[in-house]
Amino acid sequence: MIVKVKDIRVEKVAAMTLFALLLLCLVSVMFTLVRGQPDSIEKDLDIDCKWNGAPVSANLKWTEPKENPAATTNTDAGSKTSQSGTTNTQANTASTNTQQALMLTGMASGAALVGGGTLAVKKKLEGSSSSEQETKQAASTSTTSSTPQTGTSSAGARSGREVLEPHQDELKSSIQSQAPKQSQTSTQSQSSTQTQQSEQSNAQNPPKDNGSTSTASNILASAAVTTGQLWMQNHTNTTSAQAGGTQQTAQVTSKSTSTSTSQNIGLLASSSSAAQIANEMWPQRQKELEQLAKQRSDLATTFSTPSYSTGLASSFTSATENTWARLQGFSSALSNGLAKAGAVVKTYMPYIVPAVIATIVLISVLICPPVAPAVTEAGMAGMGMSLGGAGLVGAGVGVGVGYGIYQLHNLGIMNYPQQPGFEAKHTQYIQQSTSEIKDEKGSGTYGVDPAKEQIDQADIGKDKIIQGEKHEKVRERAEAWLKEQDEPVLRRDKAEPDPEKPGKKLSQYGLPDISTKHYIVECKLGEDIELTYADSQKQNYMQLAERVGKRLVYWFLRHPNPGSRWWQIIHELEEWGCIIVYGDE
Amino acid sequence: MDRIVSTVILLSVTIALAVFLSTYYTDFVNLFMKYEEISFDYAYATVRNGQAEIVLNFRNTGQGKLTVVAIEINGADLEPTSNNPFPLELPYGTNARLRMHASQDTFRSGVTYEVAIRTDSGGIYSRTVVMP
Repeated sequence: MIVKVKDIRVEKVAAMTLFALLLLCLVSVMFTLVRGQPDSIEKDLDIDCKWNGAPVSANLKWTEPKENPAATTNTDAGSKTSQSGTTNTQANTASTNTQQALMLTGMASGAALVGGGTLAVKKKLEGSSSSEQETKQAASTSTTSSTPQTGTSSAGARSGREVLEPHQDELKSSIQSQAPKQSQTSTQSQSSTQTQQSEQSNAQNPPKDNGSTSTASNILASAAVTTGQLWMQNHTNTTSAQAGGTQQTAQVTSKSTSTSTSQNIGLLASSSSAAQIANEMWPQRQKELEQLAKQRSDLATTFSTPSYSTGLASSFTSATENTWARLQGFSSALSNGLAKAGAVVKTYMPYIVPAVIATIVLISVLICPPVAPAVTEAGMAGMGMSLGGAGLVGAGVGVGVGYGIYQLHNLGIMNYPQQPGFEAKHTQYIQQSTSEIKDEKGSGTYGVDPAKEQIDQADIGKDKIIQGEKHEKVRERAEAWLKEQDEPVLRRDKAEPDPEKPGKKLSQYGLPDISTKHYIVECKLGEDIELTYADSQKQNYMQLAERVGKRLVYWFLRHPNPGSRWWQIIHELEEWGCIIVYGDE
Repeated sequence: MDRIVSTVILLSVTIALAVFLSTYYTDFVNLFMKYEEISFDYAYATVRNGQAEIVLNFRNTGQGKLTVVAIEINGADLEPTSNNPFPLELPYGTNARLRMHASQDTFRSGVTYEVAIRTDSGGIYSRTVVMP
């Protein structure tokens, strides 16, 4: 019997391999930590040497951690020196702390291994039945040797039944597990089972008609044998095949007059597609089954039927007293047992392999300390690979989190204020402007006419425009005063020429309002709104006036408001020597 | 059961990774930050039992092991007459004491001796003593 298990559960392999790797890494890390313990070893090295031809004996004593590679070097040096007959000695006062720590490490690792293995075995035992079923389902093909189909006897059948009774529950559960997959098949099986149950109930009653019983019992016996063969030949195959065998039992029963039914079923059972063929043939068989039921009711016969004829149990020896048949049955049982053992071992392989690896590692660490550094390096290499994987996982997690946040934002799940659209913004702006205008004017209601509102806004704010009408008024007054001073205006709102570099302009200092031969006049309204650039402008004009050798004049339309910062600027300008003029002064 | 096992495995892997990373990165940083240093605790010269003795006590206070390749006195190497124990590796934190005995004709009274320890990195760490 060849059983091909084509489905190896990768997740179990991965989990147990991960467990083994973890153990390996823990061992290596703990071993490294143990090695790194500053367990001091005193060393003493005598060196006979010469200095300038004169003998000098030197002695070096030092302490160093145990397990350090340097210890090996020094030991070698000491041994070489000892071989040469000199007085070099090394007294290693190694304490037992490191050994104890090493033992504890091994014990902890062993305990972890045992614990993990126990968990795995327990888990496996808890799910053993399902695992076996899965294994059976995973088996795709099988080839069997045919078994004798004749020579049925009740004794042999009973022995076969006793052997196979333990499998009945398993077979039942298998059939039940297949029920949802094949509704039709399930129905058929139930019909068949009902029929067989009626047979069983009949079997419990004493026979009334021996003549009819013999025929029917022969038919059912052959059917039972065939069913048993089916089960044995296919008990490692898919459960659907078993269901198919059960269906074929019904088929055999219905075709009670056909002598070739058993052969057909045997051929079908030897094929893994028995269930499929049975399903295809079912419409015909259903009719035959109905006829059989009618026939049964008409006959109203009772007959003795072994319980294994229910289709749930079967015989693998065909229940003969023949020696050859017994041998074949034994070999069949043996092959079945081996196959089962193989399947079980294969099931446990994901646990066995890492356990063996971990055991080898532990043994190498505990028993062969020289191998330990190599094992440690291997562990570190494994950890390096894990590190790379962890980095990738971390990057993936980061990308995932970022994408998740992005999605949350888009979905509006986050408490994030939704930005208004263009239309909403525009409407909001108009409403806000209208509200401001309404508040400032104090009365009146404005519509949604933006043009009129803007005109009104300009009317309201025109006095605040620095270069507006009032500014021009100041300029006119200043020019009038300059005219009185016989100072013709040379430039208006233009940069002063650089006296040192003809043709160059000192535009970096700004554009004074009025420039004459002796004056630079800056016109101001005296409003606080002008204070924004007043400081920097003041500094620029003061430097400009110094550079071009002119007098700076600040002409204000009116006095600034009391407390305004203008007064501080004015004070600084006066301190510097600037002429300050207010209004018509 | 699966969740418990998975959780235990994940937690264990996380702890192992954390331990490993902390150890690994500490060593990784130290790999590029290593420097060599010897600190002399004391050094003296004396005469004992009719022999001159120079004693130096020093520690490897660098970041890694220290490889002594030679010991010099006033610029002249001490030449081993048998097998050369150098290079001699002194791990980090090693506390060492070097004693040198010679006749008083070799280490003469009143002479200043500069004892230097030369390492494989080219460093020379010296201490001066005056023979009484």
